[in-house]
Amino acid sequence: MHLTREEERMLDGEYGEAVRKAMELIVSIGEALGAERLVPITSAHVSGISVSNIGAEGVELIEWFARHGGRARVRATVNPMGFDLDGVIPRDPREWSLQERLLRALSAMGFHLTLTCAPYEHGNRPGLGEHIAWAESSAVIYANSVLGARSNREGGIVALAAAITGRIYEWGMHLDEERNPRVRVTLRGWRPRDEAEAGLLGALLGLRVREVPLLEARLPGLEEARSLLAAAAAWGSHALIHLEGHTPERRACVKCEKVEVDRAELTAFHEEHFDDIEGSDAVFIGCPHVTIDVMRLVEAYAEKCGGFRIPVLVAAPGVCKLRPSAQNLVILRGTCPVVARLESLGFDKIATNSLKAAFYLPRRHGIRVAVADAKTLLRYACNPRSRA
Amino acid sequence: MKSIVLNGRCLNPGSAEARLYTIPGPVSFYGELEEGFDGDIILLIESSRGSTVAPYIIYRLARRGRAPRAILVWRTAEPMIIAGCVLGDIPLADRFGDSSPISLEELSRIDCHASLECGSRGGGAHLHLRCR
Repeated sequence: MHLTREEERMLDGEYGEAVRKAMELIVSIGEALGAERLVPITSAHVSGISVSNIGAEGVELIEWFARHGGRARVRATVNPMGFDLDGVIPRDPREWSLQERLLRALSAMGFHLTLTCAPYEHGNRPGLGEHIAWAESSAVIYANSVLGARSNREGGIVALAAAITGRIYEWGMHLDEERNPRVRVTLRGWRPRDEAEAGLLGALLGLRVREVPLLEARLPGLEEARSLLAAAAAWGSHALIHLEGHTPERRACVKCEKVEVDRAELTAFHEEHFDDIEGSDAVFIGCPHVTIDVMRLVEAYAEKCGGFRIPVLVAAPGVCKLRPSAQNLVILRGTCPVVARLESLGFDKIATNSLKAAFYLPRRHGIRVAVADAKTLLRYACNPRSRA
Repeated sequence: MKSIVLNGRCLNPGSAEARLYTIPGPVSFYGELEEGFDGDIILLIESSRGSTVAPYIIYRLARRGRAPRAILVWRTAEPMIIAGCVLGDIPLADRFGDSSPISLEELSRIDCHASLECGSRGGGAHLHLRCR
């Protein structure tokens, strides 16, 4: 692999131990993948900052980088952690103290503790053609498909090393030819009406299509695009889907394979995988983390309904300022039920508008899932006597 | 005693010598190898299933002295195992299957003592086996 003189110096330890180790990591992976060189990045987003996932040694490793002079050389943000900031999720004292150490180390290295899986909504919003190193599948696919920035689905520690060196291997999504669509997806006489249907379509694409798809159907809005993308990234391994009206890169579908999806398939998939909404003992919204618009929608329903009859969990960025309060409204700031220890809350069946959550909740927590759009969920949770 | 030499690609430089422990299939560090190994071994696996937690697990094994002396991959190493080996200072080499005179299945059925030379990142790796 060709390295610039500065990159060689990083690898030789002239910029300190942390940079050397981080560079070794980036170069070794790049070498293995057959990358010809590294590219400078403008942004990083780190995942895997839950103590329950990475353990005490994971914390010590990140502290090692901080102690040996590691500093984020580019704009860098972090994913949700395993606990919420307000203590709604019970905190095991040992794990919480490790979690605090981890946050301190990240902060000392200059990472912004946004604690969100939607960094693009909170100051980390790269533009068209920018090379970045992000490690959160829903954010990576959003960055590639909506912002036109370029990122592979990196591991958390790789994104951290990329932040410290300001480099990533030029491979995969960083290369022009890898970003061309290979599969043309058409919908026979229908289109998704809301974010839940968009998510179902995304899940189907995740399962059925392996290469980069081009979806020839206009989605109602950005929320639907976000939901479809996150679902495709969770149910499959997509990093980019070309979406009409959302993707800034115009790339022709040359010799594209064709895939058609009809509504009956969507309905069959929904019925096969998910429960009926009736009997759900909680509602979950915010995977990926809620935008300000959705938080306002929740707030409006909470007011209209005079609170909710069952818990409505809303996952929000750690930096979220809007925190409506109402009976049974549970705002989880800085975490996400997918990574948090949800068992302690004792739910058996959760209704959600997120197909990403619908992928992980049964697999990680053994919870049954129902799927519907946010308005249907909020009406379902509404107190029966109110007229919402 | 049969002597076999296998050639691969060096990804994280270092040398090691120990008993060869072969797993003739894809391996996930997350879930399957979290406890690590007793005693000195050089681990040879067919491939690894990538999990983003794998680097931390490999690093943890190295810290606890329960990691292999070296990790060898029969096919191509994936990014998370590379990250783990760099962080844990474990020599790593891959692509031994490309030019091997013996199959991985056969190797998993015999006892071998292995010595690895892996000198420079991206360069060649040589594995000397003495097998019974």
